Amino acid sequence: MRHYAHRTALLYGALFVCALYFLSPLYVMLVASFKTLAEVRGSSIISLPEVWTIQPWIKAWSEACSGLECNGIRPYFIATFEIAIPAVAFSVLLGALNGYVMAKWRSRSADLIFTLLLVGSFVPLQLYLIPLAITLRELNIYGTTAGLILIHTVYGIPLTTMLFRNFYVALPDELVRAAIMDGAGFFKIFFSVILPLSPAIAIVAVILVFSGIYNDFLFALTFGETGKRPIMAAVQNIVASSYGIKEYNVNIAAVMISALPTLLLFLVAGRFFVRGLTQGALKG
Amino acid sequence: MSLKLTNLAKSFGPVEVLRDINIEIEKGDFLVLLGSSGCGKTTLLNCIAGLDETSAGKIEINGRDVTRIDPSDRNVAMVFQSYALYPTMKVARNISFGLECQGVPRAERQRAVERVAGLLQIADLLDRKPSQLSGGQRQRVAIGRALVRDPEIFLLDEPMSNLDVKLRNQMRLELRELHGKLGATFVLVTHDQIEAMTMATKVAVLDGGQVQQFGTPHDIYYTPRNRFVAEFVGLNKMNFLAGRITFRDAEPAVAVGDHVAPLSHYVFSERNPEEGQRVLLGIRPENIYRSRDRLEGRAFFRVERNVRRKDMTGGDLQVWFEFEDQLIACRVRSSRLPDLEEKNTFFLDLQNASLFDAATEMRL
Ligand SMILES: Nc1ncnc2c1ncn2[C@@H]1O[C@H](COP(=O)(O)OP(=O)(O)OP(=O)(O)O)[C@@H](O)[C@H]1O
Ligand SMILES: [Mg+2]
Repeated sequence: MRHYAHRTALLYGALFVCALYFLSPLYVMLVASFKTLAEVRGSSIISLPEVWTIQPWIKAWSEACSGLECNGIRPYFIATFEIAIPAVAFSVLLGALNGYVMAKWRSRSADLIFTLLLVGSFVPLQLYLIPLAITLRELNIYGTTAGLILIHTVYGIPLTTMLFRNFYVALPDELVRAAIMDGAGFFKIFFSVILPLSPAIAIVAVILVFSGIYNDFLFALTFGETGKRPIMAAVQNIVASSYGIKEYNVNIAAVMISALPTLLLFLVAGRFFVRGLTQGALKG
Repeated sequence: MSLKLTNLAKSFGPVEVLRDINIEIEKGDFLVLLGSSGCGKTTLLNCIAGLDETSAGKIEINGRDVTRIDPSDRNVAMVFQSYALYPTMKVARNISFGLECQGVPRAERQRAVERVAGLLQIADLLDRKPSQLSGGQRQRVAIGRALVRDPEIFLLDEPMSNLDVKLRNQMRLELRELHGKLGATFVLVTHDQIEAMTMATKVAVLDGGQVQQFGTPHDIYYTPRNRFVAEFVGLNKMNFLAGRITFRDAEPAVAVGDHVAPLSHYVFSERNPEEGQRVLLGIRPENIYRSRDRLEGRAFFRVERNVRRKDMTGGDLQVWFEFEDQLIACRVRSSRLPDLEEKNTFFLDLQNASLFDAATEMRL
């Protein structure tokens, strides 16, 4: 018994050190974001603030300058959600529909299309830039929110299709056949029988697609609307703003704010995420 | 005529799964498709349902050609091997989903569900999800789902295979009762020949994607068309004795070793046999007795042999003796069971024996 106690202590010790190592940058950023600028510059990076202030957070949220505009990151934050919410909704719904077709209405071309989709999602993003630019220009949505929604929807579909397809393949075919016998059509089966079985995998898809869109920098920078850029591009802009003194505490607060949504998403839905990945559709 | 299959065939790519299927049944018939695993029973059922497209041939339901018609328009309902209940719907909606798809108003659906629930005694389960049901209850719900649509034909794919023996027997009775009550046509798939013999009005024995024999359970049992059917059907496996045909005073007789018995009672299916033709004589274990009480006026072989093996199966006993270099099974009913190596006199009753050509294994 004592032997095991030793090993457990050792294990926890090691884990504690690791945790400390990974959390230390967060700690440094957190304390810095509550210090005044003078203190950030003058004190050690690990000391707690002498005077606690939330001024940097307020400034980052609504006053920090990006380029010539000084409205903080709030507009960009909102703009990001304006893009992410529809794009997530579209690509998850379309991915579910695609997965349903590929898994349950197997036609000869389904496997080929699936392979193409997979290959497509491994192509480096940069290769898409010029074709996308031309497409958006032709569609007359270059540099608009709609353009980014379109890009992210399309870009999310291979991933969501793959997730849903693999999930639906495990569903018994007889389920669909029973519904066909019952006289249900293609969409009736999808919405009444298949989709209600899918919340677990849908959560996985939402998390993956949302964090992908949220963290996107390349498309945001290239195709974003000036003054309404998605958050990552905006944060970069604020941090890199070249004139005046560098307000580290404000920059750090901006970065922290921008990291919050994905963090929250994982904290709230992480449990379901693991469940969705490990558990099949039919329990019991 | 309720269901008629004409020269039906089905291939999956290069694999021919069904060939030359010809079956015709009347309204109210209980057809059992009997065959071992992988012989194409489910495929045939799916073809009738319209879930699989046939490669050739014609399907008629109630006189209407439905070969190219959608499953939901064929007026058939199906109970699936795995039940395939909709996991997210409550029992009531599982049952009424078909009506919902047809656009039947809510109140009417409700009434239909109540009617079916009463019939199957599942009224107290209506608010549960399938995952909260036992196997037997799921099966009832699956039957209810078929029942509610009042179809011309019920298709049932091994509906009892997931139930324990006791429940299975009970469901068999209930299903038969239901069949009687509804007066609809049933097509049931099974690999269990007892199930087939007890439930069917017509049996189609399938093997290798072909109908080996189609007829009443009586036909199938007493006049199997070939060796496969003879062997497949029957509680205890039929004995096959190698013999030959011989004529005595222009009357055909069968000879096995030194034993000869007349075949005056035997109805030859096509032409009469030839002298010296090699045959297989099929005798069921239940047609071998140890007394000659019921053999008055019948043809039989009488042999004296030692008992070589005994098998107890439930209340049934089978003893085995050697005859012409072969172990022959005999079913023993009497209360005095023979001992091993005890000498017994066995009478092989030829009244219900079958003759097969030794080469083609087809019935003579
Ligand atoms: N989609 C398919 N593609 C190719 N071959 C198939 C397909 N479906 C069935 N088969 C083949 O057809 C044959 C008959 O299958 P089927 O499911 O009808 O058998 P079954 O008689 O119902 O067997 P069981 O009693 O095990 O359910 C099998 O050999 C099977 O491998
Ligand atoms: Mg089957």
